Amino acid sequence: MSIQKPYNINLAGNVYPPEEDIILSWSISGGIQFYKEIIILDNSDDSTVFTLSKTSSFAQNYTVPANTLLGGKQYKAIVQVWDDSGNTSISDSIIFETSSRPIVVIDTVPTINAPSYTFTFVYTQNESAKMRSWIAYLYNSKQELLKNSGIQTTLTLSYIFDYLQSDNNYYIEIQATSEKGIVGTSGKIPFLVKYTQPNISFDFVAENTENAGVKLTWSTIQIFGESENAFYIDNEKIDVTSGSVWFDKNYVIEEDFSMRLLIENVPNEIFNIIENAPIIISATEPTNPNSLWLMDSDQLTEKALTLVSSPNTPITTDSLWIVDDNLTEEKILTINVDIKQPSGENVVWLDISSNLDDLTFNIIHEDDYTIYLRRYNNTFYLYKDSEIVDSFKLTATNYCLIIKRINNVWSIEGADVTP
Amino acid sequence: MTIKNIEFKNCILDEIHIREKTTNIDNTAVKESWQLDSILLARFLNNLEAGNIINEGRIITKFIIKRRNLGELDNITLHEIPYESGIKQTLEFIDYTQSAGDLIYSIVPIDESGLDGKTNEIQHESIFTGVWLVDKNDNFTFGFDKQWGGEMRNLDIALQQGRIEIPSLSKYYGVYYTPEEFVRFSLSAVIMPSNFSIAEWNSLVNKITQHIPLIVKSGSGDIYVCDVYSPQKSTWLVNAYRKNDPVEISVECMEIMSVQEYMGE
Repeated sequence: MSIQKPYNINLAGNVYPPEEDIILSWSISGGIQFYKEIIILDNSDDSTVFTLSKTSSFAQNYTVPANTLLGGKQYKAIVQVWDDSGNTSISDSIIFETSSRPIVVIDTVPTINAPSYTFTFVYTQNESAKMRSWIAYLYNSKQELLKNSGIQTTLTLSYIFDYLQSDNNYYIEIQATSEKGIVGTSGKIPFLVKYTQPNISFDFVAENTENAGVKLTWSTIQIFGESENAFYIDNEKIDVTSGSVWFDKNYVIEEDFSMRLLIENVPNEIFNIIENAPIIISATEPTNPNSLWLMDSDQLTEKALTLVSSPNTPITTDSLWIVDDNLTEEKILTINVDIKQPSGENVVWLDISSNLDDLTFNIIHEDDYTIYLRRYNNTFYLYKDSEIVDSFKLTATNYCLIIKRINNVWSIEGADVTP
Repeated sequence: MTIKNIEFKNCILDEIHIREKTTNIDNTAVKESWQLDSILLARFLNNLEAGNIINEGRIITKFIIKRRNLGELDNITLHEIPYESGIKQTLEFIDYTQSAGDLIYSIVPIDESGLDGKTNEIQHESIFTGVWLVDKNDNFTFGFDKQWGGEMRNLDIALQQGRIEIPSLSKYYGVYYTPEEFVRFSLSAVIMPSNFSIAEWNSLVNKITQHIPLIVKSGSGDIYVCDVYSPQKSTWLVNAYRKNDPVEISVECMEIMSVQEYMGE
């Protein structure tokens, strides 16, 4: 029996990308192949496009080199074989197609700053073969597959992958199949995910239960403040120089507590504390700026007065008389101009604190007293209503202040801090 | 002694932290985080939130709890818990549908408009012994986790495959497989009645006769969704202590769907 015509030619009815090698294979029977010849014709006009001349070979296959054929065409392949006796047989012509592999390009992926991202891509094919379907794949940093989109047929060339973890590297790949069944891939494109971690600090606890469950527990409180004429600086500070911010809801302070403030630009009123301020009566403003001036348009020259307290008209001449029926004799007084009550006897306190700069903070207590803070002469004064309860001197512009209430006693301390 | 209003003005504020602790308070510029004794912590990060959960100024109305296995990306939504903003609440949830192994639980705050806030996660290793039936709809659990003293009771799980053998004209049979692939197994365990064994038997039978899918999970990490059927019990013929005699209960289990499909229903 002589060699029979080649059969089972693999190209039959299939589509191949012409830009890659095309392997042609066949089977024979009835003899041993010693020679082979291959002809490929353009099926549209039977013109010969490729010939492998009679070649000595036992191999029942041949690799058509890449780019020998054109894409988007139908071809006919014919295989002729010879045995060692010169007997020859020619195969039936088999039809196959070529179609270029689709080109898939993913749009540039930046560093992703959120847990999800919409990946987009572009599909092109040299012979304008339409896309049949596509799949998006997500890989971890080791290129192990994490998830895929499933087969997509939508013409919207985008897909969202979510639950991406911050500070992780991933790979994205899109594979698209043309209507000719040829798959193109974008390759695995690396990208980084990096976003700000959530600023949540509640105590989230998980523990195993006796009946094979997992118990999750967390405590949470959401508190909102309010403000007026305030604006933020660098997304991390609030400027209430011309406004205010307050917290009056959703929290309770009942027992001892501390309040730690990182604070800056607190107004610092500088003034002189005047002891034994002179009292001057005159028509015009006295020459001594630290004196108390009683204006009298008839007093053309300055006259110093002595402050006297007595039940009756004082003996001391040129005096300013404060009637006090409780006294039995005349008493000379001095005047101190200060923000806090002076110690000592026979001293009259001229309190100027209400004229000075406004409060830095105030705390309204349930018993209707107010705690507030003022700063004068580089010193922070903590007031309880009109009484100074504590003070602390700081000279820079940025501070950490700590205000405490322990057993209903208020105190203040702190430190200059480097901004 | 209650304080009801704190107001600030005439300055620039970086941070306010009010807490119950009154000793060893840090007096440097280091920013602090919420502590167990914190009462109020305002950071002024473009908002006026001062609690222990920041949601960019949006009021939280509920939390969604999710779970995934360590190393995976897809979460399963487990539950929603309503939340009343402005009240310090301790919230709790028990998950029974998890397998043994390393898990990641997530809590996602949801605001009034339904928008997701930022997620908080915790990694946890779920550990339990025995095999447990779970109904996700009412958190019913039934443990097959006890055996007689000295016994080494096995759980044999067989993978059923749609395997077909077809004789051919050649030397060998043709072997083909259908898509069919599920597990089938028997469960049995000793039940030590805490009160009265009939109650526990009845609870199991009542659940099984609903003919609903149940999770069957083991401490070794297996987890299936099964049709559980044919409950049987074995008791001592001569009962000495009506309320204390142990009961041996067995059931048949056949896998009928994937866990993802069950949890997504």
